[in-house]
Amino acid sequence: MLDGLLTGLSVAFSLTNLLYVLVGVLLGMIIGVLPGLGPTATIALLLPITYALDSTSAIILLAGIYYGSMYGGTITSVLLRLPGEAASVVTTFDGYQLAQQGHAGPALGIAAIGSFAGGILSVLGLVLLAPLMATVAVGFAPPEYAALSLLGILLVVYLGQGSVLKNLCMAAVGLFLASVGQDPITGTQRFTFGEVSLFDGLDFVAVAMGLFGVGEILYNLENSERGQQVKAKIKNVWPSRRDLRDSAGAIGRGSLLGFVIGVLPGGGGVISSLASYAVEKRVAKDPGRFGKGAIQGVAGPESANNASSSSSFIPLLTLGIPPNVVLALIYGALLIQGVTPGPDLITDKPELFWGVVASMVIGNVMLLALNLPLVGVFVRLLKVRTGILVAFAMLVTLVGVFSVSNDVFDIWVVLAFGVLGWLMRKANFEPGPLVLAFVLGPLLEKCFRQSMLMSGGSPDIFVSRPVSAGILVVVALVVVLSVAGALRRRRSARDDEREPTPSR
Amino acid sequence: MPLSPDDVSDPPVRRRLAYRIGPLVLLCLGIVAAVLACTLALGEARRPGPGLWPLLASGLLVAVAALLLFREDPADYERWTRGTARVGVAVLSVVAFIPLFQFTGLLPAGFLLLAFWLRFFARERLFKALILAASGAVVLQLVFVEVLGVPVPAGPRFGLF
Repeated sequence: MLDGLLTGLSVAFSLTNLLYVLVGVLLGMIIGVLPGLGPTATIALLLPITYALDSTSAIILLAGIYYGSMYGGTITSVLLRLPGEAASVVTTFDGYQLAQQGHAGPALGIAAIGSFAGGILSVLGLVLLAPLMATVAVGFAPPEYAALSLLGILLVVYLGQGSVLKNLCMAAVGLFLASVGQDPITGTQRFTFGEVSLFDGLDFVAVAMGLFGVGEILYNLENSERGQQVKAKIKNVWPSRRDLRDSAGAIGRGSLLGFVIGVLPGGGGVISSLASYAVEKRVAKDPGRFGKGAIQGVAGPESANNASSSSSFIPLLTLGIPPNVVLALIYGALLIQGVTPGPDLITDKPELFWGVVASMVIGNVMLLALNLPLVGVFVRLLKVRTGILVAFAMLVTLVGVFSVSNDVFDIWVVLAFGVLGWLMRKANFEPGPLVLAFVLGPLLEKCFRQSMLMSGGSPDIFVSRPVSAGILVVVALVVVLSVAGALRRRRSARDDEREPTPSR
Repeated sequence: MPLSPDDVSDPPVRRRLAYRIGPLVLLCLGIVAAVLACTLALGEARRPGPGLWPLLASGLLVAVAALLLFREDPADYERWTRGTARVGVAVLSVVAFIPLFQFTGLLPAGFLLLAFWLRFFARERLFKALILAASGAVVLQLVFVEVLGVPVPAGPRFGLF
């Protein structure tokens, strides 16, 4: 492990990669600040740029954007009650109240320190847990991978935002779209209708850029509003000793919780920050302060969302299973680079694994150093009008998607999926399950069919092997619990309706 | 804009039908996909064919979309607004951009798209929109074509590059 760490440090400290970390975290902070384009959309839009980079630099850049956006999203949440990305919604509850009471500086300071602590603790956990997980996963065969992919898709369906039924619908669409192109085992063309551009299937970059990038641009265009003015004055971003003492426990608990949730399929920034807020409220001596300016309500969730963004790399880099949508995009970037993540990645490509790990430490240090002194500069970014931003983002997207295969067909695909993404947002269908199912679909299909070939057509193979059986038990539990929860909610809603309303 | 409770409590028949369009489209998509999957070889459990997996996926889609048809919540839908027309125009402008990009290259097509979006969607003054669009198109030409070496359709280069 020490050798690996040293390799990683030498990779991450090369001048080029230092530059990519810096560009990544700065870009992440900027998009975190700007409401509209979230980290998912930005990573989707930047996928073509990573073509020109080597695999390590590409992932270093994208990872920097991911955890950088977690820092940046806090600024607008605290100052304007306007979360720049979804994971910062929870920070608005107490952060904005603190800003109203004249404590915007300490709130931002604590958020930055919490994010830093969460990020570093999570990277430590990654260093310890990832090699162990990779060793266990070496023994995995197609049945285990099929079960894991199924679990990954199902957890995103059940734990993601929005209605479970709609998420399931989107996952089914994603699985179907993933089957377009050449059959992975027999080589038969499926649903290509003679179109040569479809022979290799729908391009992942075009689908992701369309659903997230163009869909987001069109949605912003429809709802473009004038930028809000920052009213709260920011003075003294350094928190007091008392603030630090009050937040220490929340930062520790948030980091741990964020780390654990990040590793789980379906977990991610939003769930970890919500869970941390709930925990802090429960352990607080005076829960009534939450929502009125409790510093722990900022410290815990901010530590948790940053910790989860680092730990979510564990399942991706050791099992080859992206646990959430942002990581699905990074998985796509790795595939584009010809790197298939899995248990062998740490041994086959140590410079990539350890280089990304070391870059995370450097990135978090850079973010802490940049965040506090530059808050004022980042706030000024809010003056950029949405209309200008979306115009440039659209052209970059169109040219960017063309650059992937130098095929105009992909521009049509990105436009079609963009319109679909916009319509989905209007009808409250989440694109996340679709993209994750689209990414994991080929792996799930291949492993399912290989398992059936291995067993001579008997599905018993999935339950006779302890690991795949264990994973399928979790799958069954998730389904049963969520169905039971939905039934309970419906029954209680029906009971509420039956209760007579008091006459006035 | 989400619907207000008043809108949701007793939506007129036409609007109630409109809420079913999404699941209905998905249901139709699932049925078409299942039929197409059946035209491929399904194989058998011992040796699944290329059509089996798409059939499973489309079967799932049909089942869930059918359920959604009866369980759809009108509060989930955002209304069409005046901004929706902007989206329509934006999509049409991209539709016009694609062949233009194919035949004239990045500079002219990119400039026109940017100028249109900046003037009509960002509501910038004409002069500022033109200056921003020209700079944007030149910067993108430099980044994608000169630095990243993307072989965009050549088109006229006006002796610039």
